Amino acid sequence: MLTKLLKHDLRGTGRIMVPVWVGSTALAVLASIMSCFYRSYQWDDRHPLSILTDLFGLTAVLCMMALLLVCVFVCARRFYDLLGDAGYVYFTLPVKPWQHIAAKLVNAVIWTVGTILVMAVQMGLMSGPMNGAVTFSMDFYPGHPGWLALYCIEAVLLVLEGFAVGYLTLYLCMAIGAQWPQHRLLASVVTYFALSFSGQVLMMVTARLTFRHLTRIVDSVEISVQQNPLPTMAAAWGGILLILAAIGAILWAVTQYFIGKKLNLG
Amino acid sequence: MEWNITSGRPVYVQLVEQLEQALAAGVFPPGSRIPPVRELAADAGVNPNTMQRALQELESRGLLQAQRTAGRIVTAENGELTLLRQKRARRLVQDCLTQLRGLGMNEEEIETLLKEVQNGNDV
Amino acid sequence: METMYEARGLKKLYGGKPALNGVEFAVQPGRLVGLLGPNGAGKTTLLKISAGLLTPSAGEVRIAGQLPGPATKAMVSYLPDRMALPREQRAEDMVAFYKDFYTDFDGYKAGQMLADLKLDPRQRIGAMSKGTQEKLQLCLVMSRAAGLYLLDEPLGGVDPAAREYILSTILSNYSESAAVIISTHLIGDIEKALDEVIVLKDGAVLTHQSVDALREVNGKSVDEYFREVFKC
Repeated sequence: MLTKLLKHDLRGTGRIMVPVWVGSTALAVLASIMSCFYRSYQWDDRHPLSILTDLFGLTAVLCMMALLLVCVFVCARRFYDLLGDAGYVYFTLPVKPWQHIAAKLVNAVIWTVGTILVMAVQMGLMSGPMNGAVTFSMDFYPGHPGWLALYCIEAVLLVLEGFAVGYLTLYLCMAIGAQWPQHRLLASVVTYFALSFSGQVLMMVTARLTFRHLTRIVDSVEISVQQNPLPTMAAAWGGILLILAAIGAILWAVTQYFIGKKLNLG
Repeated sequence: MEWNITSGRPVYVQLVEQLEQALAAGVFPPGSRIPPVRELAADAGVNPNTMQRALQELESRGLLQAQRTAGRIVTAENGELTLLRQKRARRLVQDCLTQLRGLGMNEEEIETLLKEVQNGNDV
Repeated sequence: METMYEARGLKKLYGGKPALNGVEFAVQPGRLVGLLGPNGAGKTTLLKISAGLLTPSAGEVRIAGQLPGPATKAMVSYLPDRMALPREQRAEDMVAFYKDFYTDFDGYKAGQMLADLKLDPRQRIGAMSKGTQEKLQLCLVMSRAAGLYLLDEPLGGVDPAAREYILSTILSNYSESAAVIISTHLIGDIEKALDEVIVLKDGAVLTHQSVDALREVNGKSVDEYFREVFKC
């Protein structure tokens, strides 16, 4: 069931995202070509083609930045629509609630990662002739290539988990907002602000309470970093990954509760 | 066949009547197989269970015979059917006479009228 | 055969106001049951709970003995009272979708029905008229060999010719092992096709009897009986 849902979601999202990717990349290519001409022909700044080049360049950059927004909007909306009229089709399928969440989440993360990659390509295209590759600060490189691999894995996982937690937060807000079917959008937005606010309050309170412990942890981490930098950093990132995973799990569980046991389609 | 189920009376009763009429009129000849319940029901726009009950009633009246695996057939022997036909014919004639008398005609006028219409002379 | 559908003490409150107030009834397989009642009687709410789209405030619904969940959804075919199909898909896409998710879906039958109703499989749902969309939804729902059909106003939004076709489809789809619950306003069209009717009033069952029994006892059709009971 999950694969079927996912296949369907991927195709549906692709129907919007792929043309957007193609259009935006075409624009980037065009802007890049024009700026090449600009450099070779050395047009004066008031030359119409020079203005056009700048215009294209600006539009291409804006499009690139908008890509991520479009992707998040499209993916978030798929879940939002699930709790609207489309839910009458989806929630009558012989599918468990967790499978709905999983399909939408995996779909969202896949397309978001794809969009980031497309953005990187566009960025490369547009800044191509000017500078070389982005240099990677290899502060933690020295020594074992195994550590580099571990850091890369952790970095990738961090990005994926970050996206996942981001979307799960949105999903949870929508699931709670759907408890007021007549004012679903408003309720979801309000829930989002309420959640962020309480999240921040929670963090402040926890920081306050655990202040003493925190300073002790930080001290011991500092010592550890000086003594064995590599494992410590890996462990620190690992710790963050675990915390993110825990947050994600909580968000998922609560969302599942609301769309499972408390489903009330309007 | 033509169905005409009206609203005031139980559907089952009307089905039995109209099926009898059809059998009497020879819509389903003796010995022939009648369509399956579902088809008849869909045709008449009625509930299959109700149609089933009606067919079972006709079975108990000896007008239909259920076959183990192959639906129902109209009874081959004409005894029951003839009786049915006679009963219906009688009722029709009775209704007709009552109405004609209600128009003020006497027995002689009625007989003449009947002969005329029978010979194809419309008045 | 076990009871196909049972509602026990079903209540649904919307902000203190009860849409359903203690509904109790059972439906056996092989029965076509009409769910009747004026607007606001709770018909749609009842069907939504049965389809697993709403959670009751109290009481329960059991389908083939189980509470609504993925197992019951595999055997329940639900027609909503609204247009729920995604507008950017084509009719044939939805047929493929249903075929993918429901093992009891008959793609061939669906194709036949679309042809009978003169629906273009390649047409996008967003480009269809309201009546055509409703016909499509109905085709999809009736092409499943489900154990329980829940049809919320299947005749409302379509022309009389289509209504006849729909009724005739429901009747020819008849199976002794399946139950059909149809909620409708258009009682006259449908009552002779029904075994039983359940009349809801103010969120509770007013009466539950066979059509013929009701006709016999009251000497009038269900439609006329209904108009009398709910006279304004």
